[in-house]
Formats: sequence, C-alpha cells, structure tokens
Amino acid sequence: MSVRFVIVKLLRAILTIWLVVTFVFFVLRLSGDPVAQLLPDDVDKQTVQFYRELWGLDQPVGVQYLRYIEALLQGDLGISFRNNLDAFQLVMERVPKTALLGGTALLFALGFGIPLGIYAALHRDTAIDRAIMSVAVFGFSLPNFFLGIMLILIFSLQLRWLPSSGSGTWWHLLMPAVTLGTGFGAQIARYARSAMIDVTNRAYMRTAEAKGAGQTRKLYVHALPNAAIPIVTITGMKIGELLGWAVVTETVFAWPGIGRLLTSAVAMRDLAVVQCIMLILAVTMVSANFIVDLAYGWLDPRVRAQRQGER
Amino acid sequence: MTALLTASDLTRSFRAGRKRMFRPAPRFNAVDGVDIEVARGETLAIVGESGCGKSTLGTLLLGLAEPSAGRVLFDGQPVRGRGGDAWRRMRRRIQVIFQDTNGSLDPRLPIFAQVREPLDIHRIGARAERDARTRAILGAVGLGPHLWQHVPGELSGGQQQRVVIARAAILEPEMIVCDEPVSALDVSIQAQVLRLLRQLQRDMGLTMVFISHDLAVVRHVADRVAVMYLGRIVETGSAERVFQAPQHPYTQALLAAVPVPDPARRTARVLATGEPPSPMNPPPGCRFHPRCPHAVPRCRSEVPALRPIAGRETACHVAGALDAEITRIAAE
Amino acid sequence: MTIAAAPAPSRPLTHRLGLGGLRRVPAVVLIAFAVLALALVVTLFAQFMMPYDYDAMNLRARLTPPLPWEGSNPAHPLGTDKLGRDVLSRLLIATQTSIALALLGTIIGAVLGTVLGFLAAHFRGIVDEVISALVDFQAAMPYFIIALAVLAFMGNSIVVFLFLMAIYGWEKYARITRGLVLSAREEGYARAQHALGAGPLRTYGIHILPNIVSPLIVQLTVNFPDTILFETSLSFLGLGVRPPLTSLGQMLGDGRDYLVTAWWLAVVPGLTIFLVTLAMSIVGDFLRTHLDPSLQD
Ligand SMILES: Nc1ncnc2c1ncn2[C@@H]1O[C@H](COP(=O)(O)OP(=O)(O)OP(=O)(O)O)[C@@H](O)[C@H]1O
Ligand code: SF4
Ligand SMILES: [Mg+2]
Repeated sequence: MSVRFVIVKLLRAILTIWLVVTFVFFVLRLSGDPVAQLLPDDVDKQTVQFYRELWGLDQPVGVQYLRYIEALLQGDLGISFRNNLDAFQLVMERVPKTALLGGTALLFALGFGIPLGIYAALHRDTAIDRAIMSVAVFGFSLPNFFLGIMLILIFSLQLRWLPSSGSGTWWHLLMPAVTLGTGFGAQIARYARSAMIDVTNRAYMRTAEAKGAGQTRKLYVHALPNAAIPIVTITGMKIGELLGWAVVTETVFAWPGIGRLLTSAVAMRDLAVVQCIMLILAVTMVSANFIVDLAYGWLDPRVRAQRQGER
Repeated sequence: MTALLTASDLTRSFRAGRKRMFRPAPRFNAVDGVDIEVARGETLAIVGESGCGKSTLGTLLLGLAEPSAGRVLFDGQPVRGRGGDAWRRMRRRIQVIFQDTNGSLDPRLPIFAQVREPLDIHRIGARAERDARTRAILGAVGLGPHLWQHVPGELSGGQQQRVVIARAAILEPEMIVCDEPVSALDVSIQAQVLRLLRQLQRDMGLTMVFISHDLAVVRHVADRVAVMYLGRIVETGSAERVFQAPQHPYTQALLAAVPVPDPARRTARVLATGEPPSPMNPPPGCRFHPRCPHAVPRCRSEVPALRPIAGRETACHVAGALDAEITRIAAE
Repeated sequence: MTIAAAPAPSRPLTHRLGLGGLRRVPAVVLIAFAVLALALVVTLFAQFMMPYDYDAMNLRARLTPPLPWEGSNPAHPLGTDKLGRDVLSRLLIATQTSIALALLGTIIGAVLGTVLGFLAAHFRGIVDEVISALVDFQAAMPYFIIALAVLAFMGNSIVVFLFLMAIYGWEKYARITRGLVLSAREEGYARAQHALGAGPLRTYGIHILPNIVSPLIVQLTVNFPDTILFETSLSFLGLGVRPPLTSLGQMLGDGRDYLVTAWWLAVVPGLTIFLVTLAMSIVGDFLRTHLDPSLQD
C-alpha cells in the first residue's frame, strides 16, 4: 500500500465530508426561515429581526456559508436555537448512547451473523444451509420498526419482561440492540457464507493440486482470515445504513441518542444542531469507509498490486 | 486498372506497455508503412501469421480506426468520412465480415431482424420493401424461412456465418473486407461458405479484401495476394505467380507448410525456423532475418524495399539473385 | 405481416430474458410472485376494492378489533382505528400509496442511474470522472439521514419525497450500467454495428441495453424492497407521507401510539410491509440465481 493510495483516499474522504456539509447547509437554508418557525406567531417584527441578526440569518446565504465554514474550521459548530447551548456539546452528550446502541447491535449482528454464515457454508446445499439462509431472508426483510414494535408488544405489553422505552438499565438496551442488529446480522450471514464458499473453493483447488485431498479441516482454518476481507468490507460499507436504522430504532424505543435528538431538532428547525449531527454522522461513515479501504488495501494483495499497476 | 481502394504508407501504432510517470508509454507499429491498391472487382488476399497485423490493416482499410500515419482513399474519397453523413454513406459502400462470427451477431435478436438492420440503419426503402429484400438475401445465402426467427445461438457456425454474410451483402456494397471469414468453421463447411462468397462476388460485382492465415483457403478465392510479415508487406502480386513461384523466403516457407496435393510440385522444405519475433520489438534490417534460411549479413542492417522481381513485388535483398542462382544451378 | 413466410414460434419473454433453461419454480417463489401480484392488483384497483371510504369515520365503532378476536365486527374484518375508520380500506389505500411511490421512485432512480451509466461509458474522460465521483459521493454519505432532514425542512411535499426516493439507489444502476456498457462495447456485435454505420443511440438502445438488462432487473428487485423501506421508515417517522394521505409507514407510525389498546393498528400495516419486502426479496434472489449467477453476493 503506497503513501499515494492513502493520501488519495484521505482527500476523497475529506471531499465527501465537505460535500455533505455543504449540501446540508444549502438545503436547510433553501427551505424557509427558521425564525418564523421557531418563534410564536404573535411576536413583533423587532424580535424576529433581533433573532435573525443574532443567528446571522439576515446575511446573504453565501456569506452565511463562508462564516459557517470559517467557524467550522475553528471548531465552532454553532449554538442551538432552542436553548442557546453549544450545539456540539448538545450532540456529544447523546453520542455515547447511540454508540452504545450501535456498538451492541453491531456485536450482536456479527456475533450471530458470522458463525451462522460459516456454518451454512460448511454445510453447503444441505437442509441446514437452506434453513439458515431462509431465516436470513426473513431477517433482512423484516422492517426494523416493525420488529421493534412486535418485540414491544410481546415482551413489554404481553409478557411484561422488558421495558419498552428509555435507557436506564442494561435491560433497556436489549430490545433496541436486537431490533437494530437483526437485519444487519442477516445480511452479514449471507455475505459470510458466500465469502467462505468463495475462499474455500479457491483454497481447496490449490491444495488439492499440491498435495491431494485430505486435511479439509485445516483448510477452513486457513480460509477464515481470507473470508474476513469481504466481511470487513461489507461491515464498513453498511455503517451508514446502520446509522439510518439507528434513528428509526431510537424513535421506536425512545432511546435518547443522536437519532432522537435529530428528529426533535429537525422538527424544531434547530439548524446548528441538525448541521452538527450531519457532520458527525458523515465523519463517522466516511471514517468507517476510509478504514475499510485501508484495511482492504492492506489485506488484499490483489488490490495492492492493482493500485501499483495503475500508476 | 483503376484502383477502387488506395492505401498509402499506412501505419498504426499501439501502446506496448503501461504509461510510467514522466515517460510516455513505449509504442510499436502493428502496421508499418503499408501501400495497397485494390482494383474494382478483384479479390486481394492478405496473408500472414497470426499477430502480423492483418486485422489491424483490415480495420484501417475499412476506416474503422484512425491510422497513425498514411491515408486510405476509397473511390477517391477519404474512407473515414468527416461527419456523420459522410461516414454513413461510406459504410454503405464498404462492408465487413469480422473474424469472430459468433460475437459479431447480437445474441438476443432473431436473425431476420439482424439481417434487415442495415436497411433500417440507412433508411433504405419502406418496411415492406426491406422485408422483401431481407427474405431475398436470406434465400440467396441459403438460409431457409424456418431459421429466420431463431437467435444466433440456435444456429450452426456455418449458418451464423451466412447470416453475417447476408447482413454485409444486403446493403449491396461495392467492397467487402472479410477478416478470416471461414477460419472458425469446419473444413467441410469452409468450402460451402467460400463458394457462397465467390458466387456473391460474381453476382454483385463485389471487390473483396480477403484476410486469412490459411493459404489453402486463399488459393480458392484470391486474384492477387499480399503477404504480410510483422506489419509489413513482403511480397505482393498475382495469386498465380505468387503461389506458383514464391520469391520471398517467407512466402516460400508459408507455402511449404501447406500440404500440396501433388507431391512433385512441393518445393524443397525451406521451413522457417523459430517463433515469429514479437512485433513490439522487431529485429532491425529485414524483419525476417532471424528465421530466414537465406539471410546474408546485409539483411541484418538494411531494410529491403519492395521491388519488382519475376512479375511481382518482393521485399528481399536476395530474392532475385536467389532466383538467378537457382536458374543457373538448374541450367548446369 | 412482415415475416408471414416464417412459421417460426414467437419467442417467450422468459427466453429473451435468459430464463429459457428454467424448468421448475419452487413453491415459495410462486407464493412470493402471488403476493406481489396481489400487491400490484391492490395498487391498481384499491379504490374499487375497499369496502368503505378510507377516510370515513364512524365514531360509534371506534377501535373495533379484527375478526377472530372478541368484540370484532364482520363489517370491519381488520377492525377500525381510533376514529372508527375501516382498517382494511385504509390498508388498501396505504398499500397503493406505498407501492406506487416505491415503484415510481425505483423506476425513476433506475432510469436516471442507467442513463448516467451509459453517458459515463460513452463519453469516458471528464464526463466519466464526474459521474463516477457522484456515484462515490452518493455511496459515501448517510443518505437516509440527509433525506430525513431535507424532508423535515422542505415540508409536506410528495414531489420532494418522490425526488428523494428516486435519488436513493440510482448510483447502483449507474455503476452496474457503466461497467456492463464498457465491456459490451468491446463485444463483436457492438463493433459490427459501428461498421454497419449505426449511430450510438441505436446501438445502445437496440443492442446493448437488451443485452445488459438482466443484471439491471436483478438490481431493480434488490433495490425495490430497500425503496419501500425507505418510504415506510420516513413515513413512520412522520416525515414522508403525511395525513390526510396515508401509506403503510404512516399507518404503522400512527398505530404505534395505540399499542396498548389497539395492537392491530400497528401489526396490520407492519405485517403487510414485511410480506411485500419478503416476497420481493425471495423473487429477487430467485431472479438473481437464474438471470445472472455472476451477481451473487
Ligand atoms: N487495440 C490494440 N492495442 C494494442 N495492441 C494491439 C491492439 N490490437 C492489436 N494489437 C497488436 O497488434 C498486433 C497485430 O494484431 P492483429 O490483430 O492485427 O493481428 P492478426 O494478423 O489479425 O492476427 P490473427 O491472425 O491472430 O487475427 C498484435 O501483436 C496485437 O497484439
Ligand atoms: S532480406 Fe534477407 S533475411 Fe530478409 S527475407 Fe530476404 S534473404 Fe531473408
Ligand atoms: Mg486477425
């Protein structure tokens, strides 16, 4: 992996973040005056004007944008319109909650997705393989919000085992994490299965040529790290999707993370907070892709060779 | 003799490797300074080993690729007509039958539609007339109505080649360039398809450029022959003369490799030895010298030009002398 | 008749799509096809199928449970909601809205992506660079969340919503099309077209597109459930389809507030979404293995 490769990827990542930030900025400005939305209808013009000036909304959009970027580069992400708190701090307070939910869901998804996928691959074309893959199709066709609601109906309302909302205890984490992780895990299972089959096919042929049959079990042990490459890739690529579903899940379970903050901020037209959330999500997603790119370029010699050939 | 097609000093170069930083990619000439004339109504065969640049020369003659140097005139006009209209008009007059028969047909379209398509493209006639012409040409190439709605994959190789021929002929072009039209076919079917081509040529007064590596095939069709070696023409003349008494050592080697029915006429086996050198890195002087049984020191440094010898043109330093030598020895 | 002289059989669609070798279709797939067919019928004819107007209130029959349950009323087989509106009628209309939106969105996105893919492959150079950069950008941003914000700020507009749905997923078609066209252009039949004097539009439209359509259809089936989920999720959050219109996600989001008293208000639309996406995934998997084995994950 060359320095050039890393730099190009890094520049791309930064460009993407910049584009997202810019895109969001202009779309949010294009959609009307947030002050009018935020203040009660009966306030006088002076007050409106006061707030417009306070938040810099009286300036032309271009000027606002330049100011925003300038502030951004200095680490200033603006003030929440709603409660005059620092937007970044407001968002960061929620980050641990979302990270906890997303992390648990991810672990859950990988924890059942990878073993199931590998198991199915090892028993390829048997009944158990088909059963696992059918369950996987169910899993990722199940809309996240519907699964959440079913879980609430069964485990909270019917059986009264688990709390349906909030985030106080570990019990609170259980249903949201399962809800968020199921669809993702089902996809992981599919990818893990085909990656495993792909790798063992190749590895099998190679050793079958070299030293005849036998030692199949050892093969799988060697195959595993290779099968990890596509799984890592797909995990990284799907982080953005996971974040999207996290917003929905947090709404279903009233989980006080970024997603909930976003839905309320968006409803209140709290520009600074929305922009800040977008920035943080974009950075998360782009970083995940960046890391995957690096890992991929490092792990897979074919990609490395190709990159070098391209120059 | 009026030349219908005139190519002068044709050259086409390709990149021979990857581009490096601060260095242009190395290039080589797949076709290197070729002059060719084709008279109206005649069949010129271009022969040579695989990779010597026959197909590349073919696409240049067709105007499907831009030459790196030189130009091609068809009936006095540039074959790569400027602008869509001129281009399209030229396509009507020159047609092509590609090397890869199977691939040059759309795998999903019934053959009837594919044969009619040139008429659709050039907006010739009304719908009914197009269909009538299509039926006629399909009949002429020997494809019965029961095959017309089939897709190419359901036809045999010989039938597919007939489809390709019909599609090229339906525009009633003045010239057809055939690139290895039968080399993918069984020998038994080759003869049929060749007969069909010759018959079409006679009926339509076609001019033909016939590209092949197979001298046995060329013998059947060619009026004139141009022998190519590593991007250059080394011998050209009437088919009869070239085949009866090849002058260039390479031509002799090619002919010697062909089984000849009459063993008495088989020349002494002067088989060229070794693989053809890579066109990427051609040897200096006469490009054939590393494999030539008659090479003299001069061959290593000096490029032989085409010159008239025994009623055809040959690019060999020794050729005429060789001939004289043989005559002298025979006389003694 | 143009080819009257040719008594050849006409070619069935399955054949032209490359499904010619298909013998037996598994029962699950047939059921999935049936579910989709039913969904399509509902989409087309919901107005004629619903027993009541989907907005008609009947305050005396509020929160009637669905049929086998105690207190149900055969006049409302799927029960009624908090305003006494017939859930079945609402479900039909909601399904119609959801599927129509997802179909439209998918198709617009597919056409957009395919056209851009063709342009990138045809012009190469700077056009290709720009389109490829857009594709990368689209794939690298948290689109669902951006769409959420855009919708919230742009307000209640079906046009904006549809636009967002169309943008969702276009890049996959663009990427696939670009790659396929680049390799198809090197195929003999494309070169032959050039030699025959055909223009690029003709070659792309008549020859290359039909030859690359299978993987695009597969992508369509893969993308469609995603698009439905995109719509239902946003509507569920109260941002996509909003009252007085209704969609499956909107119904479900509404029903969520009545989980304790009227579970069916959430379960009925939720189950419907699940069935449709499941059926589509099954059909998609089936088509994928039979249309284009190379596309398997
Ligand atoms: N597009 C291209 N780019 C680079 N090199 C090329 C290209 N097309 C042809 N060549 C090279 O040019 C040389 C001549 O190729 P060409 O196809 O003309 O040979 P040919 O005589 O038709 O061979 P054959 O009998 O195998 O068809 C070969 O070395 C080939 O590798
Ligand atoms: S010029 Fe010399 S090397 Fe070339 S063909 Fe003639 S004799 Fe052989
Ligand atoms: Mg060739």
